Amino acid sequence: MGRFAVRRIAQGFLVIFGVTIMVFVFTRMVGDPVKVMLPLEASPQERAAFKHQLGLDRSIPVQFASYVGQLARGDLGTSLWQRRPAIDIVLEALPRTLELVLAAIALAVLLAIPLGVLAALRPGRTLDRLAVVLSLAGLSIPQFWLALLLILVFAVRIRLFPTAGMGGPEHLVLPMLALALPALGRIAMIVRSSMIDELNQQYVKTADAKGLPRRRIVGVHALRNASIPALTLTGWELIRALAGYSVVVETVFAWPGVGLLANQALDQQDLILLQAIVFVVALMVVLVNVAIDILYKAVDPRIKLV
Amino acid sequence: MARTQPDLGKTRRRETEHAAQHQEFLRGRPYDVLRAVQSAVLELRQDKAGLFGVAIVTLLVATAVFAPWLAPHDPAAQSLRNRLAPPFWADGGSMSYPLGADGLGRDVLSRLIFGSRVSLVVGLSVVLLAGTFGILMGLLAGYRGGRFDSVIMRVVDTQVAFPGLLLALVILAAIGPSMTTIIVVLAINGWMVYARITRGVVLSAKETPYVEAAEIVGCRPWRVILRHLLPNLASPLLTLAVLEFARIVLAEAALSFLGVGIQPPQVSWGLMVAQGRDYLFDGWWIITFPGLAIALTVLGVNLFASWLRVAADPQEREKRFARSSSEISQGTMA
Repeated sequence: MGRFAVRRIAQGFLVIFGVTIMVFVFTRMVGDPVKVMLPLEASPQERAAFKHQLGLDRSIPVQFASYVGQLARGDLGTSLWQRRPAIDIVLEALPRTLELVLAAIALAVLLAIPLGVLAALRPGRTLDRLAVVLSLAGLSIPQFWLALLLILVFAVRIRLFPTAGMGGPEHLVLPMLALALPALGRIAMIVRSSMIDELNQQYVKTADAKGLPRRRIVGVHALRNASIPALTLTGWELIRALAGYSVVVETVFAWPGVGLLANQALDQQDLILLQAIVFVVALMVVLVNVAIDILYKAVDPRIKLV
Repeated sequence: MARTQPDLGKTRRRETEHAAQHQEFLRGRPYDVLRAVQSAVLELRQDKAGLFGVAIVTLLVATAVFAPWLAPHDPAAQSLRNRLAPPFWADGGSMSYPLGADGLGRDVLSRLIFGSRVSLVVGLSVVLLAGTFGILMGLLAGYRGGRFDSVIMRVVDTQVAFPGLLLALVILAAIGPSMTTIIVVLAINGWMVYARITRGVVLSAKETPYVEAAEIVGCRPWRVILRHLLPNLASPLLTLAVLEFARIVLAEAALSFLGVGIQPPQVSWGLMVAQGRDYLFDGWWIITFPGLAIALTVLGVNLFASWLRVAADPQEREKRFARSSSEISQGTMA
């Protein structure tokens, strides 16, 4: 366990380091931050001064060293747009994103497991058809479109929920659904297929033969084994929601989380704030990965954490 | 004497091990999803779903190729008199704008038809670029092994752990959005899956007697790689490429929707949805049809992939044959 922890933490650092390098390379070496961040009519003097202010007139290795040094001290720079530490801005938005993403994935998992299990028990029946259709829809429907359709139906046609913004729990419903529905389809599909695999295993026949109640066989024996692939996918969905889909959904619903912030930083051409966002999200992704590994061990004691 | 006899048992054992490993390596994430889709689609009759997939893919390619002849209007032509014209079946709609017109009076159908070109070009270019690089890296890593292998695989693991959209957003913001940059960024985002699967298949195929034999008779490494290892990869990589195509269509649409992908005056389905956001209250059709086009394309390509997986892999085909013939025999017994 100790060696495992060390390895995972090292791997996590590697992920964060890799993301940092990529952001650095693309923002400073491939792109020209001054061109991106200053208006077209800026004079050469203004450009030079701005370059100096950001330290961009130094050599690339020196820039990189100071960049990494700052990161190590938790200093992610000052946002050009809001003129205060970028990390503060990101940390203010983070809880709102976590609220949205966790609520959505929790909803997806809570609905996907019963749906997938019931579909696996009676393949070809109505519930199974529903699960299959939902899965295929979840695989193919783009989040941003689903989000807009939800607004069109539930906020414009039947005025049930507010179109956007943050406030009471009614504001959470539509963005949560937009994130949850595709994930629900995909997780239900995995639960269904791995449940069908498990129900054909010898140990299920043995349990049947010795007269265990069906409920126990399905709910305890098979489900536990089937939950491992589902767990993998759920972790992956969580990561993708944090590092991708939230940008789209938060933008559509004006939900003031990290994703909307990223889009605003983009509009404001604030590369420093964007860098800070990517850094914090990378940290979250690493945490989720570690949490999933620990959960594996809890579900399947055969898994050795090495 | 016994010592000089070839150990046939060992060889056979190795071959079954190879087959088992081969299966093992196809258990990456895309394949988990694929297997699940397949088992789901089986209930819907594999062939029908496959046919649907093939039809959608054919339609997409045909639309993209023949766009100028199919589109009733110039996709960029504005007509203020016809702005927000509804689709033909709604009140006030007409056949001159079959799927309605957008906020600037541009024909939605024509824009859809031309938008298919962007999806196809971006999808194919990214698959080609990421696939070539990824397969090359995977072949080298798997065949050479050693330090090169561990470095490449470490890079792959690191990149796989961090999904792309946010990173793509930052990179596109830094280097400026255009069709070329979006292709490059999505390729940088996607080469790892090819490398991982290629390496896996190479590692298991490398141990087989025929590759050893090729090495013993003195084939050069590149000949071994291209003639003896690469054919093993045809079926898994083909399926993977099709699956990746679907993922890229979605990614391009999302990036264009966010404004860092395809830029106007070019037409893309994601961009059409973004432009329709302002008219959500006045024209539902502006966002509905491009979204539907994206969803149908991705669905069709996914079904196509699951059909291809069976059609292109002799092992899978055999399994399916066994399954259907056992179903038939069960049917006659009942």
